[in-house]
Amino acid sequence: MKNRIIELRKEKRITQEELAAAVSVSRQTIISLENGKYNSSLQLAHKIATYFSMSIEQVFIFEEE
Amino acid sequence: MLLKMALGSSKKSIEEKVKFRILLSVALIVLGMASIIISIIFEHSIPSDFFRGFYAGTGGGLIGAGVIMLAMNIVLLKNKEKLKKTEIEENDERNKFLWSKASSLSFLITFFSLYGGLLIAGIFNIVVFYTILCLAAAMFFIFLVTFLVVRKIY
Repeated sequence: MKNRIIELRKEKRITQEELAAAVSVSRQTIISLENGKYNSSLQLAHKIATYFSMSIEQVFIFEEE
Repeated sequence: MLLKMALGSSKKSIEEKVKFRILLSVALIVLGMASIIISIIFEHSIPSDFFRGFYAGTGGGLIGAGVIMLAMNIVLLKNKEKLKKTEIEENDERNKFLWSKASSLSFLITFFSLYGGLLIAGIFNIVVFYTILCLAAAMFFIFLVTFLVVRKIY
């Protein structure tokens, strides 16, 4: 699953550490999400989308496997 | 409660978890002391040096682990910033995912290693063969019971 976290984070000028703290996960989780190595849970996707004031679909790009 | 904590579904706050761990470390120290006391009191009743050493050694190990765990958790409880960091680390969903992946993979590796051992032991030693067979059966039985319990929860 692709996502726009890096893009949105850079737009907002925040660090991975700050985003991680805002959504209560480790910085490593944000790194893995940005690299596309890890797919977030619905709960975390919701937290991240809410943080960027967007819907989940605007942040995460769902692809049929 | 232990099962819920192991499955990460406990709703307890980090302070409560740390307090529980402090109690657990005290229990470890008591268990270690009991083990050493048994090795001293029943010195003549315990048949071999190996078992006396085993009781004393595990007792010492438990006391050591208990003391370290106690000290770490007391320090953690007093440091709010560290406590918050620990809470995030422990509740981090990727860490839970990694833990779950590593557990299932290590189960498979262990199970197939036991089967490999079973094939080799069958040629050389029947006692080792049955020991490994019992271990593999016990492992599979524990897996099945755990699976049924987890299926009930989720």
